Amino acid sequence: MGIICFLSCYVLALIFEGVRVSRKSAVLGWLALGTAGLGGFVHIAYLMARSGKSGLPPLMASSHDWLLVLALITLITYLILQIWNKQFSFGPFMLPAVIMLVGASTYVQQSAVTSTETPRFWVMLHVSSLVIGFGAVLMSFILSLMYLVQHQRLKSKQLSDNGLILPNLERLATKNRYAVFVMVVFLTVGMFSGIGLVFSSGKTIDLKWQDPIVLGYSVVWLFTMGIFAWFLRSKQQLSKQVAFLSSWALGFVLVTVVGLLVLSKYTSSLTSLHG
Amino acid sequence: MYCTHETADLNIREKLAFTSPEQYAYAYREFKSQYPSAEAVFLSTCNRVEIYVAGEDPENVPSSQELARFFSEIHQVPLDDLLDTLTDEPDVRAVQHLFRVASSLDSMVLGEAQIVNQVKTAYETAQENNATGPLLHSLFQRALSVAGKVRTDTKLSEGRISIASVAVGEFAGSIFNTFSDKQVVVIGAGEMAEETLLYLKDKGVQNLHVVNRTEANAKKIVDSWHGNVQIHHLEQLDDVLVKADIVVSTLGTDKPFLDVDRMKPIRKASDERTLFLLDLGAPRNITSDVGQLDDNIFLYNINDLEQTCQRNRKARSVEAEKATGIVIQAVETFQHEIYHRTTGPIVKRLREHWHDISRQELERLTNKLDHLETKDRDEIERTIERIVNKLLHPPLEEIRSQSKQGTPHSLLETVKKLFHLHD
Repeated sequence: MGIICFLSCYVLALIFEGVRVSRKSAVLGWLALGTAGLGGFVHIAYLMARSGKSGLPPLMASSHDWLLVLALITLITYLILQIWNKQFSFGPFMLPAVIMLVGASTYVQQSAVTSTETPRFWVMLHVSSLVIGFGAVLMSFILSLMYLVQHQRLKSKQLSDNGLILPNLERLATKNRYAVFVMVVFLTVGMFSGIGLVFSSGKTIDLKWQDPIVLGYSVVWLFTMGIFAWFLRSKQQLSKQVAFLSSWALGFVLVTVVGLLVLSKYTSSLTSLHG
Repeated sequence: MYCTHETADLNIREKLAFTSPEQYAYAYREFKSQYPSAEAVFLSTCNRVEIYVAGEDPENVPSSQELARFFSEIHQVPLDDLLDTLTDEPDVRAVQHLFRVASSLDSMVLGEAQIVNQVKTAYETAQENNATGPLLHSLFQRALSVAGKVRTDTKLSEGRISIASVAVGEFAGSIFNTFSDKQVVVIGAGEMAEETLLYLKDKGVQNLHVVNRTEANAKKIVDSWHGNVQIHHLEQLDDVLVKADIVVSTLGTDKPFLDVDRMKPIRKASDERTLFLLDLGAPRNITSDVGQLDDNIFLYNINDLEQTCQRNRKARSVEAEKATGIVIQAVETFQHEIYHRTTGPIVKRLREHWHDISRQELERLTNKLDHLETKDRDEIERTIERIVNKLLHPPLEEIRSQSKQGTPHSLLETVKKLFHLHD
């Protein structure tokens, strides 16, 4: 019930943003922000209620909570960016991501995979790094999409007079570079803190190295390192090719990560410690 | 009194323009020596030269002929050359004109943003030269306030409407975030190149390359450029284009000189960096297939930009109606305030004078008729007051009515003389 409440708010906010694209209106912009903000409060209340029930903070709980935390971080980022840059249209790109994450969270494991005995520091470090890292993956994906849309409009000489106003290409490319950097740092910390968690927890965590999520994440980590290396080597950061390839690559990463979490709940062959 | 781009050609406006602080100071000195009790503000821009004068006593304010002669003397321009070009707007029309000018409703480019700063500078210069007084203080301060209201309550200044400003502001601004680190190449040195340079300067461009057939013409347009500038001959164009981020082509040619075959090696040498190509030549300087050479070239010509300009112009003209409404309202309010300021003291003195007389006569009457009861005395007092108010009504109503057209100086003087209302 709680999820439906805040999910509805996000969908309504997206509708306001969609209408705002076709007709410029400051009122619609504020309505979208207000509705999304309201959804955010309900979202936080939901996470706090679950945390109270399980006795664990959301980041120590289940895949369901992790995805909701990621959705919340994305929402807060949208609110901050939109308030700070009123003239741009972030909603049509970021709100669908928030909605999809919230939707995906209903298909993953809802029970906690850790307990109060699990070393808290390592779990928090591991999960929070991964959540921030994947948040950066998501941002980079969104920024790449925005770049491609803006690029197409400029190429076809259609900077139209509707409400879809995007930052310039150079700015999008620069922010994308920062997002990729954050992604690499935090996914690496997440990866190695996971190893640290296993070694420090002793017998409280029975992790098998063939765990599908662990294997999947390891492949994803290697893949993102590859993207980063290619990024560094690209001569032209401000180019459509960079945006095109990073949007595809990072889209693949996101689908893989969320897909693994969903599949591990429903497929016995993919049973994982992570749920 | 004024001349603008609509009433006088550039030759005359150039002769009448005030181009330096020394020229302003000289003009104000001369004006004050000839009309010491009058207030004045001179406004001079590339599209207009205007002089606003005001005074409490109309006899101390120069007439339109005197102003024309003043213009003629200080600029050493024959009076006959000026008479057909100068327009005279007195009283409320002068107020309306200034409000329209400050709100950019009278500008060549409707909604342009520079004029309000130019009006403010003109007012400040007049203040520095002690040429203003209470009337022009009120007028110019109100004009700046009206301009601010037009800017906030309408979208008159939104949307660019010249080709060069649309190209640089909207399209280049949608590609690049900063311009100070970009290599900008301008091909040609004509008017369009000059205009585009202005907008590029506003954007903070520091590294400029001008490519032209003749070095001398290229030097002219970069005379006031602050930053790195290099001048190249047309033969060096290919080498210059390798480093370019923004290229503005304004050459007058009969056929395009940049095509796919020429651009291919340039693009290879530049690692296909993002390139904004602006073709402002007519006929075009760059073939349209250059824009399809790779994904990182953005090519725009005049036709591509004209649509955006027209859309913005249309939007501005709709906003102009709103802005005109604001100006009309502001003129009425200002007029009402000035009416009170100029006629208020006289109206007050007239009322006081008549009521003083009625009170004196009433006192004399009640002293003689001491048998009267209080209620009878009150009734007599009320009757006398009604008589005085009814007698006062026609002259006061006439003053109010004439004030709608401007300060009724002669009527006020007549009232003062008729009723002995001395200062």
